[in-house]
This record gives sequence, C-alpha cells and structure tokens, in this order.
Amino acid sequence: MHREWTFGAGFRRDGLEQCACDLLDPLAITYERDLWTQNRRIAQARCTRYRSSWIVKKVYLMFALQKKSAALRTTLVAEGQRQQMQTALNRTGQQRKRRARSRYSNRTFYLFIAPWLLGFLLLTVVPMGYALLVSFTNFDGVSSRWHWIGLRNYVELFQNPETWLSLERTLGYMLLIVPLTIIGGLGLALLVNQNLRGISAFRLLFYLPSVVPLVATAVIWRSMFDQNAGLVNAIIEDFGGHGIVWLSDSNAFVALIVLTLWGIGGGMIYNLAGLQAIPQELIEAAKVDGANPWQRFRSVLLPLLTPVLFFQVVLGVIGALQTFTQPLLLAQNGGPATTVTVQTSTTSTWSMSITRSFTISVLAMGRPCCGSSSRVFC
Amino acid sequence: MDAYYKINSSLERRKPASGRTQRRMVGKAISIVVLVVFSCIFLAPFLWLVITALKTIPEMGELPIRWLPRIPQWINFIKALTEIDYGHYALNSLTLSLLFTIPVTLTSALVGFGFARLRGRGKQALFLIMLSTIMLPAMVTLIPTYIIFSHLGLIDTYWPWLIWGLATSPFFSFLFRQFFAGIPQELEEAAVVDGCGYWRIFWQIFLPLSTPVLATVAILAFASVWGDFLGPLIFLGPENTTLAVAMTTGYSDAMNHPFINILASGIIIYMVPILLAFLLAQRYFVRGIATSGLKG
Repeated sequence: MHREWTFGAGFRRDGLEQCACDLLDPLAITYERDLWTQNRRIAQARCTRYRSSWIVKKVYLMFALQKKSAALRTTLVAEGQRQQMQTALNRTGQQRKRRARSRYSNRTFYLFIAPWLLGFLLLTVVPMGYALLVSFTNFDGVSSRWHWIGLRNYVELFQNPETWLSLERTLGYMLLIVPLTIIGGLGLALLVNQNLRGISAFRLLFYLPSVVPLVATAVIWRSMFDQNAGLVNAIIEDFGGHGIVWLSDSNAFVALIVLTLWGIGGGMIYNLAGLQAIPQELIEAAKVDGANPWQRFRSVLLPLLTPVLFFQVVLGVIGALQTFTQPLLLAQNGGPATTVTVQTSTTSTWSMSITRSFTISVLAMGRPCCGSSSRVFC
Repeated sequence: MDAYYKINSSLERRKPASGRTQRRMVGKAISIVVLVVFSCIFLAPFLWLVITALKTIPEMGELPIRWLPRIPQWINFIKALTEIDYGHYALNSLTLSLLFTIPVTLTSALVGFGFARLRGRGKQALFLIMLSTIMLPAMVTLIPTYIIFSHLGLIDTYWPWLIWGLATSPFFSFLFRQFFAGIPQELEEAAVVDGCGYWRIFWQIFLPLSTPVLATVAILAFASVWGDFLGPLIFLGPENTTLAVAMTTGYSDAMNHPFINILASGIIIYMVPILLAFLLAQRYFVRGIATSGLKG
C-alpha cells in the first residue's frame, strides 16, 4: 500500500522538502498531532486520502522522524525495509513491469523517436500518397495540366511486355542471387574461421570488395567485361575461344550476377560473427561424441546459425529487389539499354505509374517478409 | 616401472596423434590453397583496374589482348585529376557526406535509444513500421520526393541531404536499438536513482558506451553518400554534383566515347579514402556488426 515509505533519494531534496513543509503547514500539524498521539491508524487513513501527493507522505515521514516518536519510527523503518525487500523479491514479472511503466513516460518516448516519426510521415508517407494519387492521373511531372484518368496507367503498364520481362528478370535475379550469396558467404566464413597464420589478412581481402562504392564496382566490372580490353575475354581468347559481347542483353545478366557475387564478403562478416559467437564447448562436445566435420557443421553449426542466415535472407531479398544503380551503370555506353532489372525501365515515359506499381509489388512482398523477420529482429 | 609406463604412454600417445597431425596438415594445406585461389579471384578485378588505368587508349583496343601496358601511363592519374575539376567535386562529395553523416548518426542513436529503453503507447507497432520501411526501395519515394522538393526550391542545393540526415535512417536506428537493448538495466537504474533525466542518461551514459556502433554507423553513412550515384544525379545540377556522377559522365571525348583508362585512374583515387576508412576502423566495424546486427 504505502510503497513510497522508503528512505531514499527523497530525503536529499532538502530545499523542496522544506518548501513542502511550509506549504502544507496546517496539514502537517494535523499529522504531527496524529503522530504524537501515535494514532497510526488515523495517520494512515489520511495518508491514503491524500495519496496523490507524494509530498504529503514525505512530510508525514519527516515529522515521524523529527519528533523522534521512537516507537512509530521503528515501525516505519521496519515497514520500509519490508517493502524494500518485497520489491527486491518481486522484481520480476508484472510488478516490475508496472513500476517501470509508471517511471517511463509516453512523452519522453515520443520526443526521442520524433526525428524518425516526422521523417517517416513527411518523407515516406507523403511522397507515397502523392505517387498513389498521381498514378491515377495523366500528370507528366512537368506541366501543370492534368486530369483524372482512372486505372488507365495500370492497364497500359501491364499490357506492356517490357514490364513482364523486367519483373521476370528481377525475380530471377533475386531467386538466383540470394541463395548464391548466402551459400557463398557461409562457405567463405567457414574458410576464414580457421586458426591459420595470417588469416585476418584473408578476411580483410574477402571483405574489401563489399565496401567498394557502387560506382567504382560498376567501373571495375565494366573494365573486366569489356569486349576488347576486358580480362574475362582475354582469358577466353587465351584458351582459344571467341570474345563475348558481355555487356548487352542476356549476357549482361551474367555480368550482373558476377558483380554481385564479388561483394559476398559482407555476408561473410555476418556469418563470421555468428560462427564466433557459438560456444567452443558445443563443438568440442560434438567432437568427443565422434562427429565428423560434416556432421558438426550440419547438426551443430547450421542450427545455431539459423537466425543469422535468416537475417541475411531478408536483407538479401530486399537488396536484390532494390538493385538499380549496378545495372544502370553496367549498361552505360555498353550497347542498348540492357534492362537488366525492372527499375531500369522506369526511364520510359510512364515512369510515374511504374513507380506506383512497383510500390505495390514491393509492399506485397515486403509484408510477409516483415512479419517473419520481426521475430528475428525483435 | 614408472619409466616403462612413461615410455609406453608416450608411444601410445604418439601413434594416433601423428595420424591426426598428418591429416590436419593436409587439411591445412588444402585450406591454404583454396584461400589463395579465392584471393586471386577477389583480387583480380582490383589488379585489372590498376592495369587498365595504366594503359593507353590504343593499347586497350589491340586484338590479341595486351596483358600489361608497354610503358605504364602514370600520367593518366594526373589527367584524371585535371580532365574534370576533381578537387571541386571531391569537396562536394565530402561536404555532402558530412552533412548527412553527422546528423544521421545522432538522430539514429536517439531513435534507437527510444525504442530500446523507453516506453510509450504503440511502441511495438511503430517499431514494426520502422523495420518494414527498411525494405522500401529508395526508388519508390525518389520521384515524388523530387517533385515535392522542387516545389520547395530545394533542388540543386544540399538541403535534401541535411533533411534526410535529420530524418534518421531506419536501418541505423535498428543497429543502435539492438546495441542499447543489450546494455544492463542496472546502469540506467543507478542513473535514475541519482536523479538523472533520460536526456542525460542517453547523452552521458549510453552514447559514450556505444563507440563501436557509432563508428560503424558513421562509416556506413559516410560510405553510402560517398558512393551514392542516383541521389546526386537526380537532385543536383552539374556544378554541385558529387564525384561519383561527375566521373561517370565527365571523362569522354567529343564523340562521347569514354576514356576508360582515365576513368579507371579516377576511380582508384575515389575509392582509396573509403577503403582506408574501412581498414582503419575495421576492428570497430566487425565489433559493431557482431554486437548489434545479430542479437535477438
């Protein structure tokens, strides 16, 4: 009932306490009398009545101490200790939660997350709503004359074979690149998780490509896949083959896959962190039980790495669906517009409506991902 | 007796041990070979970039391919710096990156702290919304944002980057949230007992503790703007644009044929600061990912 009867921080605020005494003087006198007569019952009843004000209770306590009503003081001290112990005992579960809730305030929380909340509303919700609105009009982004045309943009969009082609490519890219990067990243992580001299140099080396800026990556691979001056064609020709025009049409897809696989080191770091977090004892125990390396990997490491791998699947799917700059730059000056992924075709005239339709498709895909990923994230 | 036992046991020990060491040696050798092969594959593009940067244009067109340049054309690097106003664009890139990095690191830490340590109505739902916005491609909001910003007169200025920075990044907030959630409750309780408000708890206790994540986020944010292509291409004019855009469009002759060798040397100079930053902060970086990215 009277939780606040603990002796703690409250008594340090001397100035405030004094101030409270002055303010509550008539009240205090009543308490004083109550205390003086040691009518604890009445005092407590009053205390409950004025429950809302912690100051009252503090004043009450103070007088109890000041008047040196020895008997009452001991009761109070005992009461305080009992409660402190109880709170210590009840720290878990609901009581703790309730206590915490009373201490944290809604307002502080919203103040802290305000930057994100405002940014989300103004820079995500508003533009997306705007795009949705505009997708039902013939607004071309420049002229101010536009009117409502209903679903015509969408019909046009889905009648265009290019749309289906690019959607197909995007999905194909995703289905290919996500397993490849994850398996590759895991393999590399296992490889560099060994105890060899100079292994950290290898780790760094494998990791380096994934921090190279996108533009640089694209230029690097353009020079690699160049028809005349590229290393890939040089090797093919050295073995007696014919050079291939890499950066156009379907070959560009291969180039894009290779470019993405080069940056596998990012996944390797995640896997490596996950592997090193696995307690060594588990692996030792499996060894003692006679598990061979494959069994150790299959039954010990893999199950323990599942959250890490799942995290990467989610990030990989998002990344694959968002790929834009790489194909754009890879195709630059390299043959016809390669349209490697869906987004490349946004450059065409009905870019507004495709933006919209893309929003829909991404949201549709994002939702199940989000639902399941939250279990890992939270 | 004792000596006999010793010899016997040592014999016993040596026999299986030698077999195991042998197998381990073979395994080690295989690993090293695999490592070296993979290193070559990962390193080849870098090397080829350097080789390309040192060639002349005719050498690049030769038909039986020329592996190495006859005379290394170091002048290509100087050409890369002078063909476009390299210093000017590098300064643009740097300004833009810092303009984004500093606010985004601080605001993301704030939001991460809010989600990790404070209570409020609808926190779970808001957190889920934030996570799902990570998955939203930038493309979706880019064009409408452009139109809105152009109405506000913010095109061809650096304001959008500052605004994006202040608006936090959901991914970075998530990293911070994961890290802050792992800090023991007692620390915060002690501060509360001493009469410390949440602002000070954040500023004086949690933020100084989060150095690895701060470093990780700052580097990631810096690298993201430094390497961004689409943003400056769309939002900035040719004078204010960044190095990434200026290079990919700048190095070409009158017929619009790109000078790939000069572009390659320009790219090398452009890459070096980012790679250096990652190398220097490498330890922090891995720790930042390990402590925040993966914990449940």
